[in-house]
Amino acid sequence: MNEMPDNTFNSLPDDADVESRARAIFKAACEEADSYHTLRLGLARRKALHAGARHSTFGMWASVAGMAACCALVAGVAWMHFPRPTNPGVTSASSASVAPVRADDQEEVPPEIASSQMEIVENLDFYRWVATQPAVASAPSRGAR
Amino acid sequence: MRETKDAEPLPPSGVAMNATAAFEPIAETPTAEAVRPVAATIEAFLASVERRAWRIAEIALHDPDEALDAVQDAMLRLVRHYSAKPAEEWPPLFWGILRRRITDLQRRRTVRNRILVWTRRASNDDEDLPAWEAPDLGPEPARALASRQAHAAMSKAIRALPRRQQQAFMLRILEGLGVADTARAMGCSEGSVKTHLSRAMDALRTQLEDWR
Repeated sequence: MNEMPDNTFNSLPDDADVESRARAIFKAACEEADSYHTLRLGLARRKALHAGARHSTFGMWASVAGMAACCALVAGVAWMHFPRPTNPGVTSASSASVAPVRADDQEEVPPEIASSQMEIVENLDFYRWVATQPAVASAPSRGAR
Repeated sequence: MRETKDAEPLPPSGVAMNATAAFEPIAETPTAEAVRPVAATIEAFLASVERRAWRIAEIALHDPDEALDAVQDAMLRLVRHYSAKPAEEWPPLFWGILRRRITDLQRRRTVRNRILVWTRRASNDDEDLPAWEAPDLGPEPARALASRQAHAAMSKAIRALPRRQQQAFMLRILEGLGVADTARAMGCSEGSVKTHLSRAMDALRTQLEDWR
């Protein structure tokens, strides 16, 4: 009963030999590492551990600072977007000192139009009176046709 | 009797391989990692792994100082990002980080060499200049010399392998990671690890005599 492939018996000892030989050479090389590089390896390890500890401390403070900055940002946005209650005392004082100009009037007459048609604005009462008389003015023209 | 062929994974589709390499089983020998105790702290883990990591990086990079930089970078990243993970996860994470760092350095070196060749300023400084080696102060200089020569021959043979085969061999055989941990460190499936390792063993078997 031959359940194993034939080449297994030929190859396994060779593989085991290669493995054992390679491991022995590698182990000897690791043990015979020169003192200069061994010392530098130890220094590198301590440096890595020190930097890692510093990094973790910095990371903790950075996360705390980040959370504080996020809270401040959210508070600022909320303060800008929520409606603020008006102060009635301030409003009445400012309105008393300013001339009674309606906001509607300012919107109706832009500055460029106001400068070019100042005459119309000055005679606004006259034109309003004319506007109340259309029936009287148009009656003769219809009759002439 | 258990049939070993059933346990073998199917080869990845689209990969041409000969029958011997594809279905030759790699012995599931007890690895060194299985024997090693799990480190309690990250400092203990790094202390236990640093020499092997440096040697493996040195084999791959053929430069002890670059290998040292790669190991230090891997240590730093492990401590920074994964020190809170369970200790059982440190080995594959560390070796995965180191593998990527080594690959980055190899690619950077390839680009640098291409640029140097293109600008006709290529020099074989790395190859020609004698590497500085620490004086041998050991009690058995002959044995140490033989060991160093064997290591150099093995390193040269491993460097001649394709990159993935190098990684599979070094992680699985030299470091002794399990198949699952090796696959995690290499970022591939366990079947791919076995395939790469099988090919690496095929290539290295012929050079075993040079290591003696």
